[in-house]
Amino acid sequence: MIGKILRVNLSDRTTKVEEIDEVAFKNFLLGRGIGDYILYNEVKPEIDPFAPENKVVVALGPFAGTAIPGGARVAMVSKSPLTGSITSTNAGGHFGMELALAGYHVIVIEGESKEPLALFVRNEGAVFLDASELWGKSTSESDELLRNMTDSRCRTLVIGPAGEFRSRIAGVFADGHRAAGRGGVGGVLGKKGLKGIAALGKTHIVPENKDVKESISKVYECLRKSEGVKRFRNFGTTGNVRTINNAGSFPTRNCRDSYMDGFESINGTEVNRQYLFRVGSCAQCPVSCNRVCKVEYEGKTYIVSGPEYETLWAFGGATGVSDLRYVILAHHLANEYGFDGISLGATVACVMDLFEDGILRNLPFESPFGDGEAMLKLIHLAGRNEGIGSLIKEGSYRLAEFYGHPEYSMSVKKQEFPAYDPRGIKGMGIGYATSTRGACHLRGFNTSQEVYSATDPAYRLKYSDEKMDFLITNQNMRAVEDSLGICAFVGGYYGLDLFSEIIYNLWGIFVPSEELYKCGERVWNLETLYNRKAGFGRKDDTLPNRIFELPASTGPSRGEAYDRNEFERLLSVYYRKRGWDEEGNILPSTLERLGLQ
Amino acid sequence: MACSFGRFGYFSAFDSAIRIVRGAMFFEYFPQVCTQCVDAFCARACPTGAFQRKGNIVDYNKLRCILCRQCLLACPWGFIYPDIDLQYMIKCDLCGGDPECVRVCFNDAIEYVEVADVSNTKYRGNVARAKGERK
Repeated sequence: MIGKILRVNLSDRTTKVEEIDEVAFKNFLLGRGIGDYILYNEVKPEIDPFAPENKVVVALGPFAGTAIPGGARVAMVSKSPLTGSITSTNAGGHFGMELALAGYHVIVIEGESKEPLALFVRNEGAVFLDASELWGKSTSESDELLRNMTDSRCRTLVIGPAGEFRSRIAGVFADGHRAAGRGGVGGVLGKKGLKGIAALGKTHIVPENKDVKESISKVYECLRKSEGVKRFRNFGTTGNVRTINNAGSFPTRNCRDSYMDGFESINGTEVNRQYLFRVGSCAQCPVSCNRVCKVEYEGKTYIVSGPEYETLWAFGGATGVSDLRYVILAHHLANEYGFDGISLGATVACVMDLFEDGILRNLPFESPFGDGEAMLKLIHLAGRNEGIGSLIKEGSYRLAEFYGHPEYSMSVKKQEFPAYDPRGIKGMGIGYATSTRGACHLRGFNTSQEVYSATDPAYRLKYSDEKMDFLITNQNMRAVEDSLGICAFVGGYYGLDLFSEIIYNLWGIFVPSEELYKCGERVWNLETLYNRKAGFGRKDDTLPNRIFELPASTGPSRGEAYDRNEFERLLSVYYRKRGWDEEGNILPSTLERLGLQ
Repeated sequence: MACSFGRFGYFSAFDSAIRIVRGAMFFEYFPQVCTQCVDAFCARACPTGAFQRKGNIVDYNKLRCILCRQCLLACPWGFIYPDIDLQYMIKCDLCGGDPECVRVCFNDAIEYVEVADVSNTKYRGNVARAKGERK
């Protein structure tokens, strides 16, 4: 038996406990996999994401609540209000461990409540709390208030004001600062009237087999020796700013360019030198990649959990702001208001782009690229849902469409680009286009093969078929790791054999390593199947025009645009290798092979 | 986690002999662990002699324990507490000289050193600092 499912109905305020089906576990694992499985079976693909019938599945991996490094991530699966597709997003922090120790691995949130509610999960069961006191409070305040209301030892999962007014780019925050941002799950929870979940766990997780100790030691040995972990400890993800700029793939000023002049001022070394206060880590994890910075602004001192590479890009590169102080503050505000940093930064960049081209004229202040003050003002407007903020909170595509120029939105399936430019790393282009939740770097991180481990610096610019093999492997492996609740930064140190060994030693369920890989493939195909039923097809697996038409003007990728014919060719290659037809529909033979009929 | 697993073979945050208390400030943590007092309050309070000083540590003998919780009241720092099933008390015993927590700590926040070495290191550190100041 592996964990329990807690079903929470917000409409009639009832809870129900179910067992997790072992067959479902063997096919889809936990985390993102079981979330997809539940959503696919219970939520119709054509419904409105804000309808009460939509559900949010909060799911942990099988390693949560143990000493297995990086295994405490909490995944959230829902139908996304931003893209309309299935979305799965995950966060670190300590909430996952606490929930697993409370005895639940999956929470399914159904229905809708008129009054704001919070949920308190313990070993004895779950209770509903009145959350009207918390309504309107920022994420860190909500975290603190919720812990005061329940138990100071609790760990929480909350939404900020952005989620409350149903922003399509709102995230969900673990411990008040670890974001599960993408896809707007926060908005769905806000519509459902669930402000937060607090968990307090007191059970033991008893491993089936004592050998788990050796397996854990193996991972620890690997982590201790690794150079990559050392780098993560020193710089977090922020060191990437230099690497990706040197690879000419840093989408600058709303993708007008792919190299930022003066990127050194927002690089990881500058973060460490000027603002680093201490480092933090998630539960169970020795990597401690989280930066905690101390910033002074207008006479006040802010302690900020962050920034990460993605937010350094979103509020630095995308908007052209090179003053690190504004970037860190913007990251802080995005967290406090409860937005997804990537989408918010990209949307602000879109506003600036529209302003520069003279399309957007009715702003109360000027907002050219590189203006830090204007960026903060725009974020405040979005966080208060005032003026243009009420458009920013809808995401860049809807904003640009409102002004009649949807081509200004750098998005795939209406979800904004993250910080890797497909013009500089060609494999990422197909990765963004085929991602099941809209543009996303974590679904198919080809940068590792094309930049980090490539010997030839020009390899990233080639349109070769083998990149599609890498992409498919990356996507499937990511699905396995997400379904096991393992963090992307440590997942690579395990390998499928070790995953299989740990699952057996911990839970007594044997899943062979080749079967694990197939689980990843199954999860990916199930998500695609859901999207196809929701009306997505080859026409949506594309990139914004700017990537095809506007070559990068400076940096190592100068003169590079994405060739449209090559893109279509690679996309066909990808579909063929996946076992799909030309239009991107999954062939019956593939479905049969994966047991998904 | 490593603590409870190394000692009891299961994962539990509550049965760990190290407890981390969150401070009022963001990202402020205070780890709390038994100091192994030389003249231990728990040993003095224990009516059955379940707590006894053995070598470098104050040893806890589960078999002798009658669960009167006098140790809990006696410990001035609150480093002794019952497990969640209220069957026995939990106290750090340094895992017999090879603590699990040290093995998993990557940032060298926890170290296992003999007391003699500590004073030695401090003494050398002071000398080094004094020398540095003179320069």
